[in-house]
Amino acid sequence: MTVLRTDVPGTPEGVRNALAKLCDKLHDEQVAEDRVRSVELVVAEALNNIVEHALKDVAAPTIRLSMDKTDQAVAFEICDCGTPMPGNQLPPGTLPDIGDRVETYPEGGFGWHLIKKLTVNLRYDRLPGENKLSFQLPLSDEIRT
Amino acid sequence: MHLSSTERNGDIVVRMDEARIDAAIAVSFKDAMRAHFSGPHPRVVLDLSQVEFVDSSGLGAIVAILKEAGDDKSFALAGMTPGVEKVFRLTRMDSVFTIYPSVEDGFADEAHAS
Repeated sequence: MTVLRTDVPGTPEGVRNALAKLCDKLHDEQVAEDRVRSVELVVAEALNNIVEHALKDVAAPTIRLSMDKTDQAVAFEICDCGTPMPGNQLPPGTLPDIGDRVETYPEGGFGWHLIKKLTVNLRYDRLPGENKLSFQLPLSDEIRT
Repeated sequence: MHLSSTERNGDIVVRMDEARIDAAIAVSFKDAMRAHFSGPHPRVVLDLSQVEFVDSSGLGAIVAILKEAGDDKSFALAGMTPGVEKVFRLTRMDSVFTIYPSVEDGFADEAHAS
């Protein structure tokens, strides 16, 4: 059942407000607190990536987000009209090398790793003029890492 | 951006008073933190006990602060809430920071010494 459908302005503040709405909804649905945190993190990373990359050069950028919920999982579809992913595919999402010197510590590149770690059935489709990202997060057993 | 700072045993404790360090404020957070490294204090302890959410942009900002601290100053984290701790653990960045369960724990050695 779809429990949330919203248009998200493609700005950092728009993402913030959408996440607040999402967390309110998850609390209304009695989702456990540690699951709410994981869902918020994954959706934040997905939306931030879209704002920073896909929608960078789009005037009046908007993202469509929908969340379906069953007892076992929440399923998301996130669509934007921005530029496609490089190579029309998901990035590898490997953890950046930490290295052994403070100068080389990574300051980015964590987002897709977090998304891949915490989701199942992650899928990206390039449709005509549109990116569609879909994924699920289980609500019962936390994916142990 | 609300940060509050207190001196303690010659060090400085900076508490982030906002609930989120996310893409919307990562840059201004980093800039505000930078000011606390200009004083004579050998160590800056960032109190994260009020922070409920850090995304990868916020994490990147905290790593950048560590890098800017360089060899002259030490930089430690304290009071991580469970959601924040998880982001550090999943990215393995917990391995590059000195992390105390609470600010008190960050000063436990001094308490014993005095």
